[in-house]
Amino acid sequence: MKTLQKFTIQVLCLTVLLAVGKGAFAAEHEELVLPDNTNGQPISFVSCPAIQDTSTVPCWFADHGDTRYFLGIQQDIGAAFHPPQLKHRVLVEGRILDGYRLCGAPVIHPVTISVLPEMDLQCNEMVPAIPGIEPPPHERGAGPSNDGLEPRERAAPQPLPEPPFEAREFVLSFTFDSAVMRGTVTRIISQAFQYARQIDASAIEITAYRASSLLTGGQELIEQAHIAESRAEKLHTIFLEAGFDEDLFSVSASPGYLRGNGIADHLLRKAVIRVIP
Amino acid sequence: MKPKITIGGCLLILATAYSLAQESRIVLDQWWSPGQDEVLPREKAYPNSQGMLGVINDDAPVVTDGHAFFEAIGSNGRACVTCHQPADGMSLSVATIQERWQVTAGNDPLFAAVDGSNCPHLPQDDAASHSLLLEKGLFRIPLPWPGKDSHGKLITPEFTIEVVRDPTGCNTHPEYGLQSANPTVSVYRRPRPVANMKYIASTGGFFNIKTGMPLDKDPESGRSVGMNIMSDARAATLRVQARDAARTHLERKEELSEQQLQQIVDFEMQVFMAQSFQTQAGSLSDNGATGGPLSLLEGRRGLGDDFQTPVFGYFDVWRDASAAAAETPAQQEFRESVVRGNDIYMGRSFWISDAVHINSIGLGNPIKRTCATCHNMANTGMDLAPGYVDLGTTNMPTANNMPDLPLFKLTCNDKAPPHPFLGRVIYTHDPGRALISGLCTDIGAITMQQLRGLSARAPYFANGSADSLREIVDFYDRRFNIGYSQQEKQDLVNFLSVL
Ligand code: HEC
Ligand code: HEC
Repeated sequence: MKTLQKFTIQVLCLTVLLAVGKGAFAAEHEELVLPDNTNGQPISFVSCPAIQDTSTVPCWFADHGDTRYFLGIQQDIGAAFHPPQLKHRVLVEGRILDGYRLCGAPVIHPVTISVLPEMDLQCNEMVPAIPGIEPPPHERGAGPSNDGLEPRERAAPQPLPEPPFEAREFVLSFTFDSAVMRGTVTRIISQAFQYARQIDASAIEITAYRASSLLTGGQELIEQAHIAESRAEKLHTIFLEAGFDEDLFSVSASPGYLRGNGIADHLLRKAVIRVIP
Repeated sequence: MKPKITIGGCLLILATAYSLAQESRIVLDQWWSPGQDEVLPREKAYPNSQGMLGVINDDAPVVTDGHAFFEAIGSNGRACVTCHQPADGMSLSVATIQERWQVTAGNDPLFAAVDGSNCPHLPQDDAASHSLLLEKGLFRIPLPWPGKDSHGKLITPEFTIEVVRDPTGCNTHPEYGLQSANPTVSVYRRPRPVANMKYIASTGGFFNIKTGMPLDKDPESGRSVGMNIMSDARAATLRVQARDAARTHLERKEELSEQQLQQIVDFEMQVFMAQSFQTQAGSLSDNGATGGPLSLLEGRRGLGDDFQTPVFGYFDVWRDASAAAAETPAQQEFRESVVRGNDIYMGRSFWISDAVHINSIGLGNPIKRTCATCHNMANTGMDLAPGYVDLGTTNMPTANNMPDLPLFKLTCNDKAPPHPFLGRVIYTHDPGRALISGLCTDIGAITMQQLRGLSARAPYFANGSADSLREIVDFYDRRFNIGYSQQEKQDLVNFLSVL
């Protein structure tokens, strides 16, 4: 039965492939895993991103000085790398990874991307595919995914905490000038929910911050004044919607801003949820 | 001859007869009147220009006598069924609307001033006062501005609205308009199919992955909902929707009773529809093909944007010429075209760009993907996540030319995150979700409709701006610079026509 299913799937894939004739589908690959690169040279800059087509998924780049750096490739919403957006400049923060070239370019890894909210119509560079330049091994191609029969991912239940309970902090980080909670952030919020319920929290403190990012050229980029409040308010709303009692909360936006030093500045754009027994 | 083929042949004759009738402009009366009081059978097929639409009542034949969906329980003579007709895929085609105008000399309650005319102040016996309904199948949807959130709290919008063009006169009218005592925005929208609701009226997790904020909740149970009902997702549940529909479309003064609500929702949850027969392809559920409404009864709910469990895998048997057992070369050809259309839908990638709630949610702008990236829900082709997306159907400069629709200018305040691809000043025919959320980023976001029963319910898109399936495909070709060949376009149209 199982073999039959698999066979049908293969035939189906093959037919689709032939019908489309472009080979624009996922090959079944493991994703490429890059080294931690904790000592790589820090680099931070703002520029227009560029996207380049390949025979499968596109590669994303950004230029600093004369160098075009590889940032990542198109994958899925659950992937660690969320690509930039044309029509927007991007703040790139990370470290230069020596000894690697991906999609034909030197690599920034680890890398944090912030799509700057205001539009910039000059950011419109799309490069056609260049023969021989292909993305690193990846899971999902430019068509359907390959995980239709895999069970949906569920957040693993956390072990029940043992009394005496302790206060725990859950730290969320944001992209520059944004209060949007992407999947990585909402997962941590869900953990905070769970812990607060498990220990029947007596108080929940939410403190949101804004920060600056020190660019490689020495310029300091500062987040908008209201962004810390936005982060705090949204988190407050989220907890209330989850059914927590209004009385539990103290919510604040830290005055001023945390100053970046050009190394891991993205960690300063944060909110801290403190769950107190 | 096998009996199966006889039935198929019989249907073919029927459908051919229908096309002939269409051509000689004989009206085949399939209209279901409020208070008609007949029994809606368990299974019934209704002819349309492409063949037949199948409608199934899974529970039992519906006794419509005294039934809240089928009786005129408001003050204007309409019932829910007036705008959600079985023959029209539980929506309402513009062909049917025109037919009603002719048959009743414009006196059908369908044309009630409240929303069946361009604006209630217009002379009601003049066809021109109903032009949006007669030409594009559009009803007026008056929405209070600013609106209320799902808790009933007044929202603080991130933008102001100015009326730039007001061809219907409604948005500038002293009694009905934005400056009236009850400030109201009138937008004009198509009815949405009320069937296959098992897939659409669903519950959700906690977070809306499109916005990062909590999903709306069912005000009665407190459970999170899928936010796929109505063009702007303003109705959390079918119960909320039914109360609203009774008050607005039926002009009912008192609340629906608990029993009426239950009756409406029970009916909606058990009625299924899909095209069941196609004039050229023949039966859509014979010889292993699994189109038609039957397979929807037990269908899987979930994602279908994958190779293993495709959104619409109904016609895979037609890949194999011998298994498809076509009776004629023409039939064979059409079936092959449907299969190619399916492959284009699932697998032919193009650059999806500047579509808010797809390109703005961490996938990148543009993203190289396919129709099924957005239309990913198994069996319906909606979006499993809340499906309101700014595809560009209502916002300038991408909207089709619709000079008879109102045009608004929305200006977002400086603190608001701007619309990611249009900025802070946006011209639009319909702000869509933004009329409910007040968010600048939601301007022009419209919940996609299910892709079933399309052949029974033209025109398409919430604002009726595509008269035919071909116009939909042409819209995408222009909007995303896809560069489809003529053959690819025809294949997609054929594929959509059998859903
Ligand atoms: C005058 C025409 C009209 C009448 C009568 C009418 N509707 Fe509708 N219906 C519409 C329109 C137009 C929409 C889409 C509105 C929008 O998207 O904002 C709609 C949408 C719906 C939807 C949403 C379907 C979806 O998938 O999003 C449901 C459910 C529905 N109607 C049920 C009802 C019920 C129940 C009644 C009777 C109480 C009713 N309708 C009466 C025109 C009508
Ligand atoms: C970026 C997401 C996106 C992509 C990609 C996309 N669609 Fe849509 N589609 C939508 C949205 C949103 C609507 C509703 C728009 C409206 O009603 O104004 C829609 C509406 C439709 C409708 C009309 C349904 C109705 O009942 O009116 C059809 C048919 C359709 N799409 C087919 C396709 C096909 C075929 C493709 C591939 C060529 C495709 N779509 C690609 C988002 C998308």
